[in-house]
Amino acid sequence: MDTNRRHTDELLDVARVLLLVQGAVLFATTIEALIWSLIFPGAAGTPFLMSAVAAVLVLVAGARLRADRSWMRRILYVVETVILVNLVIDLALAVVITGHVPPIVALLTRFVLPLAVIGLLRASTRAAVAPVAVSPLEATS
Amino acid sequence: MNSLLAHVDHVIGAAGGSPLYEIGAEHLAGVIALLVLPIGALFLRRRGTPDLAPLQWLLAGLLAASSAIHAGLAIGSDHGAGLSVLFIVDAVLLGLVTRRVLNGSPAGRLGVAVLVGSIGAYWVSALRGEAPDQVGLATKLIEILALAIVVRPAASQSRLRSVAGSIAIVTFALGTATSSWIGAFRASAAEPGAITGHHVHAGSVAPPGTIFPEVPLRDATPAERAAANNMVEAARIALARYADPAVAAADGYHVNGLAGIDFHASNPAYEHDERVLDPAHPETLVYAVAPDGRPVLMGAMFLMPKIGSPGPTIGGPLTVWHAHQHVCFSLTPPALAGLLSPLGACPIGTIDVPLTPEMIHIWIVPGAPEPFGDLDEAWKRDYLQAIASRS
Repeated sequence: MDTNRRHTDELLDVARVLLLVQGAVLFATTIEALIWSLIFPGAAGTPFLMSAVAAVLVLVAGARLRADRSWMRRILYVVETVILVNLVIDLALAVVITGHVPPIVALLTRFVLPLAVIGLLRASTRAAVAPVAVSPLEATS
Repeated sequence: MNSLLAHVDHVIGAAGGSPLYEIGAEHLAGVIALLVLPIGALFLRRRGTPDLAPLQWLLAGLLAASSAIHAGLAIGSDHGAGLSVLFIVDAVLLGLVTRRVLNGSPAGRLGVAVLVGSIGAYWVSALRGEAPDQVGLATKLIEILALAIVVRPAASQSRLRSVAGSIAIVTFALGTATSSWIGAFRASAAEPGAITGHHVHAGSVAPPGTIFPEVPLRDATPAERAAANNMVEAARIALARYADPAVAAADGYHVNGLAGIDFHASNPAYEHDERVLDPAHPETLVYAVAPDGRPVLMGAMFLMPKIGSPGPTIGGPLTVWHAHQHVCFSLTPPALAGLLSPLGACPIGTIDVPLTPEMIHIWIVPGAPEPFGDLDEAWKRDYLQAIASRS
């Protein structure tokens, strides 16, 4: 059981670091959204609010992520899915309009990062519930 | 489609787009150098894979990637031997830290110093006006992630240290975004005439979010100058009736919320009427509000009907059209919400419009220093002040 637990913790360690960086990127985007909302008041601050909520959720959920806190995972699944859906729309627009994919950094922060976080959360859940292989020697002792 | 792509290549490539969203030619060697990594991984496998936790593997991979990119940049750099030496020093130090991690040791203070130094050097370079590009930004993102792993406190360490580490990473991300914006705008301002004239010459760069076609350095011919003057005069006569925003509203222009000194009132019906540069039917009117509250019609913006269609340059180098790239557009409510961040994201709930149709401004106010392109802000304020004081 300790092996499974260790493996789960190791995967969650990676997820926590990725979430910290993703939260930092979202925080920077929130500050930018605030500045843009002063230049383009038409957007009425909604993008700023949504970015701020996403940044707080990712940073807080990332810091409090534990193997036994399934609701943190659910929050993260929702936020990561929203980011991925947003990217899919942008990707479709970019390919249709320009024939190019979005810039590399956009793919890293909005495709690789969320996908890696989802993958790690799922893998850690599987590792936590996986049965432990017991050797015949241990079974008879 | 082919003609569209040819045009897109023309405006997005070296000729007109901001380097912020592109890969600089001199940085391509950095990307190619990443190919060394799989060879290194194979070599490591033959030697015997070290027993590391997933997080340490990730750290080693990130450090190795940054090291390889810096080595490539040293080869491709055309900013003199000094910068190449700095890139090599960075590559070697990052390589040393990678080796340390692969040997099972912590990255330690050397790791923190090398990563902070590398990110700090990028900030300095950007703040001095070096145009940031996608290779530089991706490398800094890799280094910020590596730093997040290095400064991550052990389970036994205090919560305060964990919070301090998180604040440091957020600060590094914010600092990288800020310095990149400053670098991108400073690089575009290196040739002041480029922005107001709405065009770039070989060697200069466009500001983020704007695409200017590259224009040869030549004066307009007498015929082009006459055509441009005729166009301004025709617009002045045709648009006089829209001095009253109520008349513009009756014709379908969105004048609600008229405010500021650069209010664009669009007419969606005219955006799809297939008319090109028709002075009587501009796609957008541009108003400014004078200090006494009076709305003043400053000019109009003409939009091409399709993305990728080049606008007619009737006045040669005097009438250069421009397009916008990576504009963040909010859907709740529909409005402009900024530009794509150097860190790759538009605000949540907005979409990244990668390219707009080409457009051109014509200013009909008497004495405008530039009848086409951007109107100087200071001149605009002085003009509006003069109008208010006359009344």
